[in-house]
Amino acid sequence: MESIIKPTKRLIGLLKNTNDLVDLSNFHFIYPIELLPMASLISEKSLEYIKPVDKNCQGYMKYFDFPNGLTRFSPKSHRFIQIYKFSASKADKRSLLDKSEILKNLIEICLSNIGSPRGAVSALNLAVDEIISNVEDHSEAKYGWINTQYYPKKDFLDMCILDRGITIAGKYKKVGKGFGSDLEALKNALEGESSKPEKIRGSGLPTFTNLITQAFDGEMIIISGNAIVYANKKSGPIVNKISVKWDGTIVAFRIPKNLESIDYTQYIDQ
Amino acid sequence: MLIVSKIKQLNLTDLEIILATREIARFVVKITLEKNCNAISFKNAETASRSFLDELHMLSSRNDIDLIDIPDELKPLFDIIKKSHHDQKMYAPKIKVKLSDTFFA
Repeated sequence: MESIIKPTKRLIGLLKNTNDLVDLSNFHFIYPIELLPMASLISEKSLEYIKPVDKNCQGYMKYFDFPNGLTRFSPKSHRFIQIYKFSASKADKRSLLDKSEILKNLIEICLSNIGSPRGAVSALNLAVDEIISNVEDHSEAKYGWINTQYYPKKDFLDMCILDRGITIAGKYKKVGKGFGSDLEALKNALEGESSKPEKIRGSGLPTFTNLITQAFDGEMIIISGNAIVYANKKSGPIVNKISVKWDGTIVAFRIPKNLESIDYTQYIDQ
Repeated sequence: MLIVSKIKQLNLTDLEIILATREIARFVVKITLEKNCNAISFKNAETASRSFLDELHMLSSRNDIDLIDIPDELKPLFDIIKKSHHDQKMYAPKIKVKLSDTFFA
């Protein structure tokens, strides 16, 4: 499986060179880790952008409703979820049903593409739920964004979920647990330090990390502020600095087609 | 005098909603209270997430709502959640995270 690192570095390069104009002209192929942050940035900040010269890439982005995304969910395929913008603050029935439909569709994508190993649906549901719940409960963003694509020739599934909210460090600061930098905040969140008053909370990111890297043998990236973490099965999470700041949190992962069954209970406890 | 408590249950599968996220759990409890139900049934539910179960466990305890018909596959997850609340301790994977001073990109 090719690594998610290369498109992540491309995203950071793109963010570094972005002011009021986003230049996508050189893109020939675009992964969710690149597509979704650029869509949310252009849409939420009303930026101008230059379309890719490559007609296939341009057509793909249009088909995925770049940059504004959908606000009402309408599944088109069992191989992807277009760019979808869900309410991170409203809890009305319509928003909840839309969110529910996305997650149901995600499970169908999982079932039809990654080989339907026993237990995979529960494990993926647990992993994605942790991230969507974080967007809802902590980001203070207006929207959460999601995009998924299964690549049949490459045999892996990519997903990106993000917000343009207060970052992990911002949330800790707000509840009086200032860890200083984005790096320290991200490290603490991954080690299970809760930003909620209840002692029992804080299982979200460690559980997510364990499920994606160990249960699915995948790779994960989290960017929050100017910190990034990368992890896979062999290398534990390493938090690094990045040369740009993302106002919010980006979570992305890549999981291979997996034919072995998954017992989620092995990955959610100590 | 014999006191018989009548169970009026809300079937989760009737809601045709995925059992994930805390917001959906809050929505389920709201509907349960609106319908004057005192139990939530998981009958035929195939999967439910940790956030959903955690929030549902907390809110159902506060509102005297029983959670019934929990499928075998969900029991281990539900047991961890109950244990967490009982012990007031977080049960999650222990992960060692390294900090690096270098730039990723």
